[in-house]
Amino acid sequence: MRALELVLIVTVLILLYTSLSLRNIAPKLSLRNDYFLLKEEAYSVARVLADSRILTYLMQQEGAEDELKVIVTALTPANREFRVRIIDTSTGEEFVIETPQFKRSTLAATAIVVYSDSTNNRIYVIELSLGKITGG
Amino acid sequence: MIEWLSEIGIAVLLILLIASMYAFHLSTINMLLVGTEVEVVKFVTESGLVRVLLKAEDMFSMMKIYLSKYNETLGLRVLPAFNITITDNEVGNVRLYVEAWSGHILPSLNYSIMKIELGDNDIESIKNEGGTITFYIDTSLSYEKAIYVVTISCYKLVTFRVFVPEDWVKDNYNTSSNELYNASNILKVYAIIPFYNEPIPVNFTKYNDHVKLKVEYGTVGFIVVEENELYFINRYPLINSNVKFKKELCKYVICEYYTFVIMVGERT
Repeated sequence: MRALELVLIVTVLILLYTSLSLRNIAPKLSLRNDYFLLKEEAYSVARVLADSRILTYLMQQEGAEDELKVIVTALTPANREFRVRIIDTSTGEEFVIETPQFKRSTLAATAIVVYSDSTNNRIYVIELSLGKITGG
Repeated sequence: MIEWLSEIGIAVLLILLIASMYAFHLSTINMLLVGTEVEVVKFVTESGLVRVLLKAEDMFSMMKIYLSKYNETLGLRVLPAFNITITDNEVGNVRLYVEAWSGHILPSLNYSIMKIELGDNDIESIKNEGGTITFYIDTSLSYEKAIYVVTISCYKLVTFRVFVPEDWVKDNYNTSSNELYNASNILKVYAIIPFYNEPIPVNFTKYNDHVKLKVEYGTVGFIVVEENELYFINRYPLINSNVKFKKELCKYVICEYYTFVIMVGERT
């Protein structure tokens, strides 16, 4: 009888441990779906930035960041925060633009796209992050 | 005897405890399965929406998958990259509005607008206009029953919208095979390519039950001239239903020269 009790207690403890750890896993997996969708959005905006050849024209201008910020703000879906880092690989120069609330994002996904500007003989790395502020 | 009974009682209690823990465990697993099998993610992976560069037939197959499997649970919109609308300004001309879907206004976009009037047997007149636009512009084209092809570009980002009176539109075209069905006696077919100033004649071959069109890259629609009627056909399956849904994914896709925005989410 003692042995049976012991086995039962051990089973209870194992089940308790499993169920407690699963409660932590479940929200993490639902978060993975949101991350997947956010990553898709970030990648599509980065690709549009690259394929539209906006950088070829913008990066040669004075105050390129301001114009880029206007374009990315318009292209980004509503209720998303963003941060764009553009690295000019030939000079190592970096341009960073972001929304003021980006650091408050509870979930963010980053997409990286390389854009080759053959007109000006430059290669840019576009690192675009989209963030969502969820919860209170 | 009492000792035995208490032992059995404790054992029964422990079994009940295990059973309840097991039930809880199962309910957590159910939560987990619900969490991983979100309809939007399933639709995105199944329809190939994980890509950004699509072909016209990919968009057609995406629409078919949506209509056959996800029509009841999801909402879908396939739209031009920008929100393009036209209205009548106070003096009877076309006023063109362009803004981003996020509600922001993009400054100095390039626009072109082509107005096509249809007669009884053929295209009656074609008028064009172009320039730059910030939010809205009053054009010199009169606002009446006609086909308006609006093209908006921001550097090499190009998008378009075709405004056609509802009774002029037909849906008898298969984008993946470039075939027209239920067309009785076709005389001419014109392709609308926004970069050209006028519709371009299309070569076609007649078969018993359908007509095969020779489609040029970048065609957005066709004007079909039959013996007794003229009508318009969209090449891209743009969807703008009034179904209410939570926009869980809002991504851009590039198809041929054009950029579209796709919004998907669970119905509310």
